[in-house]
Amino acid sequence: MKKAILIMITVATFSGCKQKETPQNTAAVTALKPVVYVSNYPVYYFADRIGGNAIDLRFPAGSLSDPSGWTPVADTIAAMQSADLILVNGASFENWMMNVSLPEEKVVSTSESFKNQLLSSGATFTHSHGDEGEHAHEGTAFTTWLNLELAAKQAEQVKSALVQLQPEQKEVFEKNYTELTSDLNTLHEAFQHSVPEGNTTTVAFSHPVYQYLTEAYGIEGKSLHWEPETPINHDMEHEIEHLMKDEGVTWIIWEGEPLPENVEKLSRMGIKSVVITPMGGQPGDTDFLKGMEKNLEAIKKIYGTRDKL
Amino acid sequence: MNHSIYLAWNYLKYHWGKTLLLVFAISMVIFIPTALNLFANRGSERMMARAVTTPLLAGSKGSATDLTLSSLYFRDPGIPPLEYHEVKAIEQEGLATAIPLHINYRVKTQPIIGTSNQYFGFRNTQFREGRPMAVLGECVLGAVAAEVLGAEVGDAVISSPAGAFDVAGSFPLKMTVVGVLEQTNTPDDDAVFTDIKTTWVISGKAHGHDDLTTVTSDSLLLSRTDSIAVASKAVLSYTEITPENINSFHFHGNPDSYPVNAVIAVPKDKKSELILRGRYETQGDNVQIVVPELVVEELLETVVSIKEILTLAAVSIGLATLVITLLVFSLSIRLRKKEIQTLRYIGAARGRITAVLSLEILLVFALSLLLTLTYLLVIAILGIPLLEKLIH
Repeated sequence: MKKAILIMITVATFSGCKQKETPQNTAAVTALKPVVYVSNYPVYYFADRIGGNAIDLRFPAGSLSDPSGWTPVADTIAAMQSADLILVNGASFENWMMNVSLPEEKVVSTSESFKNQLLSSGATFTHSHGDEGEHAHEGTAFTTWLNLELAAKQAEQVKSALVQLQPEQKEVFEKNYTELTSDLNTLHEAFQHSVPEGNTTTVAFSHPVYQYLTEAYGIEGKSLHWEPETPINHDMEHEIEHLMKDEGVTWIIWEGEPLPENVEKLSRMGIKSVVITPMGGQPGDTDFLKGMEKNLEAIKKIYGTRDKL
Repeated sequence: MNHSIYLAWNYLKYHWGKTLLLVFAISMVIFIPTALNLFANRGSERMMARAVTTPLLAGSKGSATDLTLSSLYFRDPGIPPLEYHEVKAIEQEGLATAIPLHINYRVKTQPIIGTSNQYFGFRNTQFREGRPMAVLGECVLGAVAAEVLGAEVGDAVISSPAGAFDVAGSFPLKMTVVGVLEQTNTPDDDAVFTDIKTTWVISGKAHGHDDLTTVTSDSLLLSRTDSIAVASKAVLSYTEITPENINSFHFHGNPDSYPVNAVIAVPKDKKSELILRGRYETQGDNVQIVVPELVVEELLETVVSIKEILTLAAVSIGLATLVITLLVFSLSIRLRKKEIQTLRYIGAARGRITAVLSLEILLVFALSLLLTLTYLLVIAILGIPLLEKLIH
């Protein structure tokens, strides 16, 4: 009996040791992959499509619907410092970059190649201190990926950075990149045909986040500062009435799913609602391409266009 | 022979005053040039070691010695600063890694070094505790700085005004200590390292304050429209960077034009180093690139010349002292005429008397050498750290 107990203890001890080894082995395999950090969902999507299993991709703001307002804590920055590559959107998306210490040689701004094409966010606020010269904090619009041509350029930057990081994987990265750009270009063409030429319809945007979308695809619109989850009050009603009167607005584009009561209220006023997700944050049950396809459908709904491809 | 030693030793013991004087004089004659040589060599080695591990330094045109000494030993820069875009320019060339140095401010007497985290890797410095800087307002202390300031990880240190007449110029910023370095016996031990952007906050180039779009107090705003707000001097900048106010920190003007006292350029290889040096030597801009090793070598050549003059003087004095010592011994033999005569009467051979007298001289020199070695040992233990402090 004693012998049997002894054997059982020995077996249990050894099997325990084996179980502990498994995660260590996994960690060792993971450690071999270069660690790549990203700061928003489009860049995450591009890096994931191009890098695939060859990289250890980390998206610390992944749980947020809008990472543009995210500020990493010191521990996250400390973890990012030891990464092999940090892919950022640029175009002022990461306002926190000026307040942190990251190794510049590891940071790649995916919008660097088209910095001359960046648009103003339209929100300019200037301040000065006493007799100092005034300085402007002019905002740069950051939703660059909503112009899918620029999104493809961002993907190219991601590919170049990954190839530089892992030259031995160049062939795989190039192949993945070609497939991704093909998808992006197809969708870009579909977007180009979604708004009829000579469009005069003016829409209202719940937030000024569609600068690149409107500029690339010819959408005319005026921006509000409305939150989808905030009930429309008297002032907001007044604001939209003005837009209806002055601009002939009949559609409002929301950045998130609006409250049903808001949709109903606007509908009674003759304003129809659609949602175009800016895609900055990780979408729940979809991905970047599907999300943009859904956005395309919303545009088609506004302009009554059909597939021409 | 033992009898001769016994007689010689007892003579020296009996005349202890004279013996001590002679031993001290001779030991000093040997010690001074030896110590001078040792000090100069050790000092040179230390200076060269720091210089050799710093491949290239870029700074404003001016004294190469000032640039080198301020960058290696964190002394007040004697030349005007560069603009930060020069750091980017070196990086963009792809020939070298550029590590900026901003050396204008202090925490009490400890220099604040505004740099990047690459500095720690470049100097191969290990962390005794904590981690490198991650966000604005964090700092890392050298081992001695931590001791002097009595601060450890989690504590805070406050930057001091740049001068008595600069009360409102630089910014008394409370910085959180996030790391302490292992002792390296270099000037890094005395420094308070922080991100260069934090030194710009200290200088007032960047700051954080209440949101002027929401401020309502008339005393804080001189004027405001939808797009412009003119703040009065009453709008106070935050003196501590916290997770709550960090997003309010902003930079006035273009950070590319902000000051940097020097840039350590670490070339990728020898070829890159030569290309980089050639580029800066031929261009007529206000930037110079120096090889610290060559600058320190030149500096040490001057030090060596001074050392040689001093050694020559010490050797001359030594020779004169030896002559006087020999004179003392010869005069002492004349004074001891009766004593020598007595030794002869009691049967001492001439050789034995010569042996006793020679052993007396030998014993004095042996004691002097022993004393010199003791001095050198004491100097090696206590004097070298003192010397290092002087060099720093």
